[in-house]
Amino acid sequence: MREIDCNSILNKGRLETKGSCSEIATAIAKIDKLVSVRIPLQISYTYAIIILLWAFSLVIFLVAYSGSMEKFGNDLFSMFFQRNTFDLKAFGIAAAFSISICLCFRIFFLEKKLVGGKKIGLALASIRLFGCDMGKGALLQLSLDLSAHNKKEKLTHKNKQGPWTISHYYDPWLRMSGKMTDGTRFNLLVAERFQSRYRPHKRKSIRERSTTITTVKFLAKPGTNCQLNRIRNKAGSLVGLPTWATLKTLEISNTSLKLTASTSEKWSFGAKPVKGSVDFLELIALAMLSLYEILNLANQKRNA
Amino acid sequence: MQDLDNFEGNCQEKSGFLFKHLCDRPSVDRCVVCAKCVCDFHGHQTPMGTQCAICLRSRDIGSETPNDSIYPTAYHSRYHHYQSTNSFQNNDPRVTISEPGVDPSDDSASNLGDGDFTEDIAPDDGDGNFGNDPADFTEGDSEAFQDDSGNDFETDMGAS
Repeated sequence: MREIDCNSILNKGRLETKGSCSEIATAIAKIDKLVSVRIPLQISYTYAIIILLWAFSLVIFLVAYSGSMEKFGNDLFSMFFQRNTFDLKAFGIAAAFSISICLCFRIFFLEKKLVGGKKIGLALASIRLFGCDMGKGALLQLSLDLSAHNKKEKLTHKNKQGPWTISHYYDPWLRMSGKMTDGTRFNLLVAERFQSRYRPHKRKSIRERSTTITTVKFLAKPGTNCQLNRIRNKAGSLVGLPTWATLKTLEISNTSLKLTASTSEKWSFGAKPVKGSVDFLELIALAMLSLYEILNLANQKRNA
Repeated sequence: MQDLDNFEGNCQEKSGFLFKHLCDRPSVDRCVVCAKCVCDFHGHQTPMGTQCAICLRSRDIGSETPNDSIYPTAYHSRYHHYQSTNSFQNNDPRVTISEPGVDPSDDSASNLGDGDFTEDIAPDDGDGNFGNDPADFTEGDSEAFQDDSGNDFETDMGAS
């Protein structure tokens, strides 16, 4: 796996890689640290510098010019346009103002990099979760899209309802696939389905709704003759998903299982989710456990 | 006495999320209780010295779950809880079962390369539609939005 350049990924907003699970986890952890610690810290520092520059300018303005805009304007004009004098005080204020404008641009670009913070964290947590059952050098393929969900290329269709125009977006931002140590292959997809309702006439208004969907697919180890269709009557009872999630489909075929679930709740992830949000990793983990229980049952039936 | 030489170099702890398997990380220490080789993930520092997760649990030190970072056990108990309260019926229309021998989702599992994306597993019908979703905008919303009475979005969600 070639070295992952964290900054270029944050600038591009996309990461597609294939490599060993631990290497990818290390790279994503680096990006996560950058997004969750370093960039917010850089933004805080930049804000602090701007405040100091403004305070410095204000003090000089009040002390040297007694708060008179006219005096300050005259000095500035004579320095920059007549060029016959050099006024250090006016230059200092002008320089502080210019630097603070540049720093505002810096904040703007830094904040653009923060868009995918939650996505990076969930991707890392998912890699660690699947990585528990993958071998040390097992290959993992990952595609992580950090760009905004309402980009033009993610628009699937538009329709009208009364005066409203509804734009439907589909953003499959996390895809992961690999093989576990027992030979079972998995695919994970996390997607955002987003609707934006817009009324151009009368009073302009925009309303938005989103649903997060996850699909977990397991493919039984080739050659195990795992007869999944034999346990069709029991498969449903083995599904255990959080109450805040909705099961969309459970597809069972001879050798594969696919579970799709969705939620409209605000989500975070990990053992301590943010207050008022649900743990999305729990949905992924429980979907995995549900599918693996079904696979186990199919194997037991085969051996019986 | 257990022969540890066969495992010299590798951690002997069993771990995993879906199933338990031998850890393949290099060992860095031995458990002071059972002399098992453990890696830096599975070795836990105690006042007695390094202990493996099993010995640590058997001593029941506090309510700590030492292995949770790589074996998130909390999800197992939650799964059993939700599974027991599951209202999901076997004849539920959401369960689709393909006929024996026919496997539309399997594009020849035996030909898959390691870690390859097997197929597009997007749960839509190719058009971004997902059937009836409770979060969809509906005609009811359309009427509710006619009068912009200042209801916030969360209130409107309930209306749909």
